[in-house]
Amino acid sequence: MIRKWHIALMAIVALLGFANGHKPVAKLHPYQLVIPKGWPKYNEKNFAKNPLTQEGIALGRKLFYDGQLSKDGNFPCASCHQQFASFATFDHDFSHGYNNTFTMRNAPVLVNLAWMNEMHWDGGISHIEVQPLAPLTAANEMAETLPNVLQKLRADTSYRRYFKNAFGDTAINSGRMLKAIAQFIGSIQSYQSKYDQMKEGKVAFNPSEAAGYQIFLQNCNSCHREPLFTDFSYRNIGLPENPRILDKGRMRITLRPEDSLKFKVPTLRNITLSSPYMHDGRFLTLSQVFDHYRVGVNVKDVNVDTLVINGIPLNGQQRLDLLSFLHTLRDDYVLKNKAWGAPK
Amino acid sequence: MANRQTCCNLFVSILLLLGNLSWVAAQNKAKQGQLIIELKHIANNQPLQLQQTYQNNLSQTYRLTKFKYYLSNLAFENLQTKKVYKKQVWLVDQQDSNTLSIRLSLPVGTYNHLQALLGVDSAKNCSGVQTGALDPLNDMFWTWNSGYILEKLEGYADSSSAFNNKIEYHLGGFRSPYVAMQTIDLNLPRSGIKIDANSTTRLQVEMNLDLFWAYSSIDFKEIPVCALPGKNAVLFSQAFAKMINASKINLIQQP
Repeated sequence: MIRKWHIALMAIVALLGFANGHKPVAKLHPYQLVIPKGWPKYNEKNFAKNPLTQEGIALGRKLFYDGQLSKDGNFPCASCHQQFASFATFDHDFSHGYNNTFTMRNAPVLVNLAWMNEMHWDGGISHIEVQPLAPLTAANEMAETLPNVLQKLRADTSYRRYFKNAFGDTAINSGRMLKAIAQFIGSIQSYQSKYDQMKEGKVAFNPSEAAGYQIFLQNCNSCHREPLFTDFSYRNIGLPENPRILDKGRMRITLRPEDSLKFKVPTLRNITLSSPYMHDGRFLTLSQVFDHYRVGVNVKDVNVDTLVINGIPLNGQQRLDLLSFLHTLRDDYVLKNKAWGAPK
Repeated sequence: MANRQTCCNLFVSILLLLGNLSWVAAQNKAKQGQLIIELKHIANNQPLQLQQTYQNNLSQTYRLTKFKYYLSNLAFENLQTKKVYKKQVWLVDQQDSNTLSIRLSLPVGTYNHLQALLGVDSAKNCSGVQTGALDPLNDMFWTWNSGYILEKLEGYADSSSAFNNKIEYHLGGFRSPYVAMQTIDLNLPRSGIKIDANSTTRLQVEMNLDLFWAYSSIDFKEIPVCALPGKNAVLFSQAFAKMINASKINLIQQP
């Protein structure tokens, strides 16, 4: 009897709650990022107001591969961020944008963005959720406007179910669209390379890879810090300024002269797939990159990082070993995981 | 076992009930009165109209096609009680007359100071996508250098040296040292604004755009465009704040 009374009370109270504007929570399936042993926690800011769910990621994936996000339909996010190139543009220094344009910089690989704090080579993007706005509206990328994109998505009935699953109802707005894309790109992780398996004790490095790993630790790890292979800092590594582009890097954002020609340290994961190298793709091969660190650093630039100002001279054998090690950072899971590929 | 479940049910009921009660309680707290802040934009002694031609203080003619700015974090100071904060963000847009009136509920009393932030605080520039007034759909968000455009003036001037005689002032920036947010302090009447439960108080703020051009010393020939954070954006946003602070204030009490 008492129990019945309680159930009735709960029902009344719950109804009052709804009358107050509380909506029943839609059934969502949380998505957990994998945090391998020894890794730092990912950057909580990225998903503080946008918890990862399978439904949110599914919507983000559909958007990522949808040409409607671009002006003429030809440039989905995936046109420059190709899964087979670890979500960089395969074999391109600059990527193609709307109406035969080129992007200003080399498209970076998209892995482990959940750990990143600021996006872009210059860190101009303050949060993963607002990242998609940049390519979406840039005249030399997707060249679209936010109102147009929302209009197209609202007219496309196939989206209704996705928005409803992810956000509880079929309303389509900029916040939901951007949060969903942030969820999808934030869910792409690399942690299954040969290097990772070696760390877990599952496989052993061959002698050349092992020697290369030691060379890496001594010469590269202070900036390309394992296990993410970047410390997310901005550094000037003595690349002479490209006179045709005049890209000042981090200084473009901070306007501080000391940030001139500083660019974000990129991850080395899947580096053997992301050629050409540097922010402007000026080096076609890793051998050219090694040459730069050996003899190419522009010592006249006062802002060059002290870690590279004296060059990193490696002999022929060391270069071969380092290259062997860099090959162990290839993660085929990123390239082949169907959940990150184009939706059917 | 059954007992335990009953206890649980009871506990949940109490929690839910408390939630509802606090909602009811919030409806009955201190008596509130209504305040409407009306933003009136004036140019050359006439109400500002987009596409209308005016002159700046250098006698250069211009017309505006867009005039928008953010106000946020209103703080009303009251001699009797503590400060009353209204932490929302309002996008004031000359194009949309609804945005030219800000309607607020305030505890009854007399308020002697009204401070506000001209712009959007830096936390909101870095914490992801926002909704409402801050929705990137409002075209007040820089996409390549995250952050809000705090004040936007766009139009044409014959003397402009920019493409198609455009003038374009997109003022913003939250990264030190070029911070464009400005605190404004309205010059309220000595007697303060009286908020009363039985009447609506209207506070008319007459903002004179002529003063903006004068304080900023903008010469359309020299600086027709400022669309990046930096030194000019800071100087011009300061001029914008000074213009608001110098507004003529009219108080109207309506039963």
